[in-house]
Amino acid sequence: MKNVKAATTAAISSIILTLALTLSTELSEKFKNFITALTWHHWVSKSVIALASFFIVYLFARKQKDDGNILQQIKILVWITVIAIFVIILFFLFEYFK
Amino acid sequence: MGCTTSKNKYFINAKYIQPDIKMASFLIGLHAALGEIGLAAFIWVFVELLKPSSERVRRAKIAAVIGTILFFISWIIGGYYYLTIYGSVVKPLIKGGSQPWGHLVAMEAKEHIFLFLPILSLVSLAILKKEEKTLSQNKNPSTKKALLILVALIIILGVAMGLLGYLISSSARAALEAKI
Repeated sequence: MKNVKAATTAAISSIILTLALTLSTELSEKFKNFITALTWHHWVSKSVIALASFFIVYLFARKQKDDGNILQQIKILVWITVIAIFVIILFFLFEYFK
Repeated sequence: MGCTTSKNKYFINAKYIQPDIKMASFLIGLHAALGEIGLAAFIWVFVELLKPSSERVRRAKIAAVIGTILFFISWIIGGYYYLTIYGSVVKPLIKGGSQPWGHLVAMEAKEHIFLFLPILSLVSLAILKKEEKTLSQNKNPSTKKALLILVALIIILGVAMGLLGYLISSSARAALEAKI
């Protein structure tokens, strides 16, 4: 992996996709069944999608120019990760207490 | 696995649960140990990057490769345990115990948040590989700062995974103790 911007973009895409899959499979039984049917377990499907999306987005994004502003890219990645973590924890806390 | 008032049923359950629990302990131990060693590898990366030199960046790269590989192996072992034992034995035990949040909050959050960890470690590897020269010569302090922030997040996430794992194990233990 030689393009840091592409790697960061891929990581952001993968994390947002994982968050979206996590919430949507919890909210829709039909969608959860669909995701489960992709492998044999919804968590396996999510794991495969998270990893595959990272590499697929990287392959597409690696041709873009790496502008070298790594700090800015990492700040965005870190904030998105932190927000995703809080959303997941709060979601399951809300589901537990509701 | 259901609990009835019949003593015989408890005996049968215990007989069937026993081998699973032994296997579970081994897999959890391996999963946690590999995860913790991976975490230690990223602490090593962080320390090496505080005052980078070509030798230190080279060591940081090796540590990041080790940490990333261990996170992936821990992912596979944790996943195997989750799919083969946790779902059929531990999950119903925790949900029927005194601390159901051990599964409903801690495990649900852990199994999804964990997925971020290998991805973030791959990004740290990409930066170390691409910016090895810049980091070694301390040419661009913002690159070093970016990597330190990312590695710090990986370390915090690793610690959080350990903490959530502890909460899940505590919930399972509490549920088992209630059955004695």
